[in-house]
Amino acid sequence: MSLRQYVTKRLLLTVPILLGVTVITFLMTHLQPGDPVDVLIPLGANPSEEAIRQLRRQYHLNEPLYVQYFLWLKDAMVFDFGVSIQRDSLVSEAILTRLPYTLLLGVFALFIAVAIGVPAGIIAAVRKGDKVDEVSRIAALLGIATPNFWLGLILIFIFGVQLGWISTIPPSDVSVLDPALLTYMILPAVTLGTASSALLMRIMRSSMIEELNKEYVRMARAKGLAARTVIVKHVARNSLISVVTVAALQIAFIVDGAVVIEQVFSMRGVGRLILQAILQRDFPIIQAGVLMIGVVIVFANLAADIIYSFLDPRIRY
Amino acid sequence: MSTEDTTSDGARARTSRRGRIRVTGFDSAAVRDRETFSADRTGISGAAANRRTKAWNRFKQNRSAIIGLAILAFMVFIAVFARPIQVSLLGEGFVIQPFQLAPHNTDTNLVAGNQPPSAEHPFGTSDLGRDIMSQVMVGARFSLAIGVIAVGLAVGIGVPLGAIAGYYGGWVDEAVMRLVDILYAFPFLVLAIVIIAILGQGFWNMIAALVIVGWIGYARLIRGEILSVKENEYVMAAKALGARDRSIIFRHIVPNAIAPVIVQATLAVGTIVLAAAALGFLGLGLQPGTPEWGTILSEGREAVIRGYWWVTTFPGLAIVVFVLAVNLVGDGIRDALDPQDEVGEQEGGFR
Amino acid sequence: MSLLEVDDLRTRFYTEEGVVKAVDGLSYRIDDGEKFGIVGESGAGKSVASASLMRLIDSPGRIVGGSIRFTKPETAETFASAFPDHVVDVEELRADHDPVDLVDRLLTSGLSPADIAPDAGLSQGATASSIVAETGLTVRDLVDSRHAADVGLVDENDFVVRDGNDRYIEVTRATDQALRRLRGGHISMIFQDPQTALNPVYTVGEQISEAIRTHLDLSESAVKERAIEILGQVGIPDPAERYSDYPHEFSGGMQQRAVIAIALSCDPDLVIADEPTTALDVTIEAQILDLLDDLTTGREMAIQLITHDLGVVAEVCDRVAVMYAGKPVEVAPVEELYYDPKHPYTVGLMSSIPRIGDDRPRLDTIPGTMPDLVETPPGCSFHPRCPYAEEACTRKEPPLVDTGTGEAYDPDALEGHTASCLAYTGDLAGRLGFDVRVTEESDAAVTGEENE
Repeated sequence: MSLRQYVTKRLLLTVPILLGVTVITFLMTHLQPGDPVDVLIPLGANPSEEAIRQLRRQYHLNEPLYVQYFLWLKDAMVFDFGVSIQRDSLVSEAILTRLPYTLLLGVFALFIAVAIGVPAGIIAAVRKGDKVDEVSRIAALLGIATPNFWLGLILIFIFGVQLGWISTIPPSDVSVLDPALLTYMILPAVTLGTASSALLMRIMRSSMIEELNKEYVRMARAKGLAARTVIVKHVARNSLISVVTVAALQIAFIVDGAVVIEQVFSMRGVGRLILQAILQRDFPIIQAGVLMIGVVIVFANLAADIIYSFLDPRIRY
Repeated sequence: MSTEDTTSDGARARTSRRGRIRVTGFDSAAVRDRETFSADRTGISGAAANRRTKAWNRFKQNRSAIIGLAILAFMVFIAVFARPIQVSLLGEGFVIQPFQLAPHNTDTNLVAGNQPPSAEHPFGTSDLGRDIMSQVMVGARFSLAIGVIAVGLAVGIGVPLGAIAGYYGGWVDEAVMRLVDILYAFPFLVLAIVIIAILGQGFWNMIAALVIVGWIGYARLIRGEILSVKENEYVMAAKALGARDRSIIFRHIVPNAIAPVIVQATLAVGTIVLAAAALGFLGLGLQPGTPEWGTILSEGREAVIRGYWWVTTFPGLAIVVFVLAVNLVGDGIRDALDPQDEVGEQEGGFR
Repeated sequence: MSLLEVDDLRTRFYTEEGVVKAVDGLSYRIDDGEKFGIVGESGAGKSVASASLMRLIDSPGRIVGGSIRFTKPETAETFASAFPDHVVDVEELRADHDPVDLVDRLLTSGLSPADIAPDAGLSQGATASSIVAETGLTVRDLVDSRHAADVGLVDENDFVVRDGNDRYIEVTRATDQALRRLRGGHISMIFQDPQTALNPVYTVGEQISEAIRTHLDLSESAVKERAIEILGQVGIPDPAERYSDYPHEFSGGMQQRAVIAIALSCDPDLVIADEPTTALDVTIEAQILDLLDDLTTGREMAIQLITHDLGVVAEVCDRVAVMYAGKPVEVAPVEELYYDPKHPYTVGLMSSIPRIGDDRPRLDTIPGTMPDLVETPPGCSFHPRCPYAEEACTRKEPPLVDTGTGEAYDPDALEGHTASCLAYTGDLAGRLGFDVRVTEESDAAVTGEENE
């Protein structure tokens, strides 16, 4: 199978999953106990009979469920999620204005996670059993055990309140790449990347140890290659294959973290938007936000699989 | 056969011819039949200890796992004895646990808010004037209960579904695994948040959300294990003997595939407690005022910005210590159950 | 001319269960271009012994004693010029030191006479001068032994030894840099399972080129050219095409050919083949053995062949050492070993080979299993499985002796036939009651069958 065939096949496999994601997101509003129209009424509002009828028509609530789904899906494909219940704006607009902030935070955090986790995992595996390994093991366990929101709060207290190095509230009304915002983002990104780097480190370490025991390592050494070459060119290269899979799973983990971290650092992002929408029961926004996240993750996994096939020639053929 | 050339022990001359060689007289029965030599009678190593004992012995030798276990035991002790436990039966209350280790009753004994740590309140007080140390001690109950119950239920759903999917294959497998794939497209916490948004807040709703999200991991794990165990000879043998499917799955396959699930479930108690705390922090967990660790932290941002560091520090530390202990134990179990890794311990390292 | 001299090699693994004596006192010689076999069941220490030659023993394993001397003069000379700071000149040492003094120093450092001159039957109280007088110990002998560094005669890292026209490389003292030059360049290895020995993510060609690039100073295009040439020599069709294939695109037999190509790519002096055909189909086995034989004979390379299969040894080797529980139990030229086996273990191995036309009611296999190398049985470690064992075998560890004369094993006597069994030291009351019969047959038939 050529690479192109592989990618095509893999793309086709994502289609049913994407459809499943839309079904689940669509059903969210319909799994609610009671009349689905209730979730479309703003909290505390007391609309007239006529207004309710109008809502039912607008959201096709009189149609059978599957018709409603296809009508919804048709709109969703062109990014039309209707109007927010609580705020007087288009759902798509609310999400698109916030998406860049979340993406930036996520990419920043993933970068930190990989930059720390992968080299630390290599070193721990090579120095297996000695002090360095032990210290990194404890650091990783602490990184995994620490709730990210708590770590964020502690960092705000130390760097924002005590030392006063950063502001405790984000700069408002600035573009995504504004230096003030990028500076502010360092702490959230570090907070978010910590647990991921700990996980990546552990995976990299155990994968390296598994690879180190393989025969091709002895073969590479028996050729007379330097230890460094054996580790970097042969062992780490093979270990990365399994790390890429885990890194893809980390994207879901980072999205989770972003929802919480945006709250901790009062940042405007998709996560915080969804949370506010939940507290206000603004279902069109929740639905659109969750769908966005699901789609992003499906494509991230797809990207990981494609990278995987580049790294591992056995997949391609 | 042509002529045979016999060489006896006494006169074995070098034979330079090539030909078919045959050795006779190496009588292996002699070894079995003779009496044991005196030197061999003592010091015969005992029969191999069984797997579980061996695993336990390995676990016992793992210092960090034992430390983790001790911390967990201590936290369970605190959780049970922090405050009396009462059950009401037929309108009457019975006290089944009369001790109170927590210094204050946080429901009734409200004092001045936001006091820094002191001898009276070692962890300080919250903005509503609750003693944080007492809250943390009682909070252990919620976190431990959520962790254990949610993981138990998730395993109870995930393992049978995964086992059935893996064993039968076909459309059952397709259906279960597609559902797993689709649910995997949603991040753990986001999905839990949405479920809570639908179901509403509360202890059992939170557990339900965590279980709905949590079972997929076990289903996927056990399915993979079963696919690899399925072709083993003892399973084939059981099949050939006409054992029923249910008995094959649960008596032969699951016990052999369960080790990674045990490890995963142990570690998951930590993950679930972290997720529950995050939900509590976001205000989607238990009712405000409940001493659950995450819920105590829901006002954490305001407290920190106003400089009341103790309000967040101590409940958070309790989470860190608990999850750390769970991870130490989980790692210990994995190392104890997986002798392959032990081999790794020996062969690893690189000069 | 001698190429490799191994003396009293001891490799141990320090595990939680105890100290595993994987190799426990192995001595042998390999001549230039000679094909030497090491035979034994799995766990006998064959592979560890081979890995020790290349110093590929990782923690918790360690070479704790013995000497591995690579004695090809040309190679030693290139190392002498490449590592001038690590050269020992025995002639200079001889001028400066008296062996009696040195032995005295060893004795005062706490070594016993038996440590200094094993197998010489020295008494515990022997003095330095009596040791030297009795054994004729010279400065050169001390340099050759592992004690040279202990008395400060040589530096811990002085691994090239010169003595007049004689020169050798002491592998156990070689620096990391020297080891890298030795590995692949002068001693190379063919691994058991080609499927795991090749790195799955690099092309076969790259894995050959990598070795060439490391050891030979060639341009990148010359490296590739040489790699393709070798691929062709090991019998890969369309080598230029297959150069950029990945290992999984090769069949098992082709993969092993590629591994052989890597091992031979830099014209080593010694090729260690560790069970090179075990992972392959029987039909491919013969082809691979023939290939190995042809290529090494043509290039005058020596082979150390490790196997559990006596048939494979018969096919390829000139001389054989049989190992059991980390120790050599029989060393002999291959014909001698087959037609006149001396050690009960060798006899057991031979009688457990099934043969077509065999009229025995059942196979006489060796009962039991190889002992745990942490705690080997007392006396002769083979006694629990030996049908001829007596009480005496549990008390006295049999030394390796010449089966004709009963004299101690001399590794330099290449034609000697030695075995370690009390039957040859006069300590056994009974006799080894086995017979070897030879049925006349054509060579072809024998070769064909011994491949089973």
